[in-house]
Amino acid sequence: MRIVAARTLLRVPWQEAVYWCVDLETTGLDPRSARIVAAAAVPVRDGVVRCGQLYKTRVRPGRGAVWGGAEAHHLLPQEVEDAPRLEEVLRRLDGFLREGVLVVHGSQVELPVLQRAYRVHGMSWPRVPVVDTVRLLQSLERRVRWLTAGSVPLELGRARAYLGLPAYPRHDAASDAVATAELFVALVERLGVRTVEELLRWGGVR
Amino acid sequence: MDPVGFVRATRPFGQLSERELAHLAATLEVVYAPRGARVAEASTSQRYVYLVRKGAVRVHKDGMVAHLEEAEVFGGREGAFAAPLEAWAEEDSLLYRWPATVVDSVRRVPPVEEQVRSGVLVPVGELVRRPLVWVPVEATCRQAAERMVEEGVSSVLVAAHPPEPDGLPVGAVVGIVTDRDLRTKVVARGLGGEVPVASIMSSPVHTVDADTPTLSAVLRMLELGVHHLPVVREGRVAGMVTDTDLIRLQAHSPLFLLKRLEAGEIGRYADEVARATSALLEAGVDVVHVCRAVSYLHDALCRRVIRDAHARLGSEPTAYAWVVCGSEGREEQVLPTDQDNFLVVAEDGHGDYFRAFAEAVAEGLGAAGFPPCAGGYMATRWQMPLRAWLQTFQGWLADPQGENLLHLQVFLDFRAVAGSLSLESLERVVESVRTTPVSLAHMARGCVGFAVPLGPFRTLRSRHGRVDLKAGLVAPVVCAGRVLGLAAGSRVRNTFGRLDAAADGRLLSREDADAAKEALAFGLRLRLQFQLRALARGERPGNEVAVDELSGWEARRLRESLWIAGQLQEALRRRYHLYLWG
Repeated sequence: MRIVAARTLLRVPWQEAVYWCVDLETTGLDPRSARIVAAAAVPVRDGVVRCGQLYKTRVRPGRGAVWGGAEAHHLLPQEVEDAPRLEEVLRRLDGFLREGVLVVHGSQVELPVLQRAYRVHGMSWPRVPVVDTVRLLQSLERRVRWLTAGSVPLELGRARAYLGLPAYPRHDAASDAVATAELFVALVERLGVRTVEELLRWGGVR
Repeated sequence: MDPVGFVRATRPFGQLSERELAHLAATLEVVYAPRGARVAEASTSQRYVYLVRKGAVRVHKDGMVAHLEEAEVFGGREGAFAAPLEAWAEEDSLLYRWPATVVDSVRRVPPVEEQVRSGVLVPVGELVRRPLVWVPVEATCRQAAERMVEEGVSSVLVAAHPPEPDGLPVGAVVGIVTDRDLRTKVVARGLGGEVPVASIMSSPVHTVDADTPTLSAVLRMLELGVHHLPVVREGRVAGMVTDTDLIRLQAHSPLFLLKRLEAGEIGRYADEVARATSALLEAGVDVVHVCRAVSYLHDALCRRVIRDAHARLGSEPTAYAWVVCGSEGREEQVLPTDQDNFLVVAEDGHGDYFRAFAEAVAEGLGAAGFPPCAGGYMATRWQMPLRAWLQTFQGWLADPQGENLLHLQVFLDFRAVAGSLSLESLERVVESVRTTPVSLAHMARGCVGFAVPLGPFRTLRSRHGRVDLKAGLVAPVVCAGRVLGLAAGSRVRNTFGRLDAAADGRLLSREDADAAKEALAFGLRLRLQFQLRALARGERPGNEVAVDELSGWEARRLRESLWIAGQLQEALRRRYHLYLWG
């Protein structure tokens, strides 16, 4: 389903939209200098995570990249020498995003990196709705705190454990993307989200 | 673990090639089902095969209800939980699913549930690899040895007459000779190869039916202390299984441990029992069978340690019985806990020998990881001539209150594991309690004294977030089983057996007995899981579980089990009119 008329999309049940859960591994956390070295995206269709449509790739960051973040992503420069160029990867991701809603865990890091990459390659950012699972967790926390004075962990692994989801290996783009997708559907159920509108109200990034 | 890693590790569809795994990975879908949500309905349940990744699912099929947990499979067209069925999430659950056609293309026969139980339940007949090797009863040891070398086997059967066209009838088998027999009975004694096999063979030969589950064959080997079992199919000997065949099934097999014990390696016994236990549990083996397998090992260890003590102190001056009691006596102990044992000797006047003997055995058991018993139920203190033991038991049974009751709760579950002295007279004393209801009533009172931690509306009553499974669940059921088993005149020590005896004797309905057995099995299993987890973390295993570490399903099951324990206490109260006692 393509987002042509955003307004009609808002009132439909959340399952009817397509969500692409994206995870990026970068050389650092500063969006101005961080380069993408790996990316993965997995769709949620009809409320079900479609692992078969998982897209994962390493990314050749191009000249001038300062290598970093290896302690997290465990990739070495020589491992991405033959990987596709960032522009190629962005074209694939762009195709996914235009299909529906972008879901990330921690939009403050992932979004600026992605948007900057778009700018550098002269691509226009698709005006797709963005849902951040961290925001959904914060919405859950507001509710939990009101009920029980408890808190909700925001880090991906701990948030998953909090919702009773199994532990996955971290800092691998593919498993982080799937982990984010599962966290996303679990949160949607836990929050009792009915429509896309509600989803964006509780987890949307403006 | 990521989805593919999980499928690889749990092997829900048997051994898969990398290509098949890749196929499963490419078609995997992840479904999240909040508690109470319907996962599958009858009309569409054959479309997908579901694998429970996390959480629990309740499956309704043909009027039966099953609780499926992590790594279990339902839906699709094959297996125990094939469509049509309905399924609900018992708790928030993460499920993997595949279109049924995908799974059909990779799934191996035999079906899923047998794969999950990974080998231990396959019929032992399937393990027979080689044709039968036999020698005639007139053969010499040299001829037997030559046959074994030719065929590359470690044992031959001795037959009274040659096989018939359809095989060797089991009736024709008169003995078995193993390479060990040849070493210890021929070579080590300096005998020549012309000795007839008939003079050294073991006879009669224990056999096992080809349809016996492999686990039972393992238990039988442990019980008999043998390493070779002829497999019999329709009255004919189909071949031989050896402990090596069975060990190959599992690295942490109890049989492997038995071999190590026989070789004299006991230092790491406690660790290895824990590992064997968790391998058996993971293989889906019933906790009752796990307990039995482990108790054979404990017995083997005990006999090994006693052999060593005799080697140091010489043989006994008078007959004795080395007796274990408490949970070990009931064959319900899994991880080594305190030593509970006592010593019965035939005649008085050999105190010095038996004190040193008991010390040596206690020390050996301690080295293997059984700490000396804090309460002091140990043969180092508790050793008497049989006559004195009879009087002691009679005294306790005549007035089973206070300290006497505590003694009875441990000593009544006695089981001799070594020594030649018969305990028949002691058995008869215990049996006679059947005719003294007052004694049984006192013991019943001891049973209802355990507080089952269940509040109104079946809520869990935890202390600092923890529930004591021993005092709250296991002990009341064990005590009730003891009272009812004795009342039914049964000599069985095991609680499951006692509850069956009580049902046979119509002291308890069959349904109540089954419910009590299930409650106890659940309690033992849950405790064991927590103890193994504690050991893995390097902690000392205890009897308590933390309520917030229980899955929703486990917590519900625990509440049901505690309720059953309470009902059992209630039944005892009514039977022995304990309300009148105050």
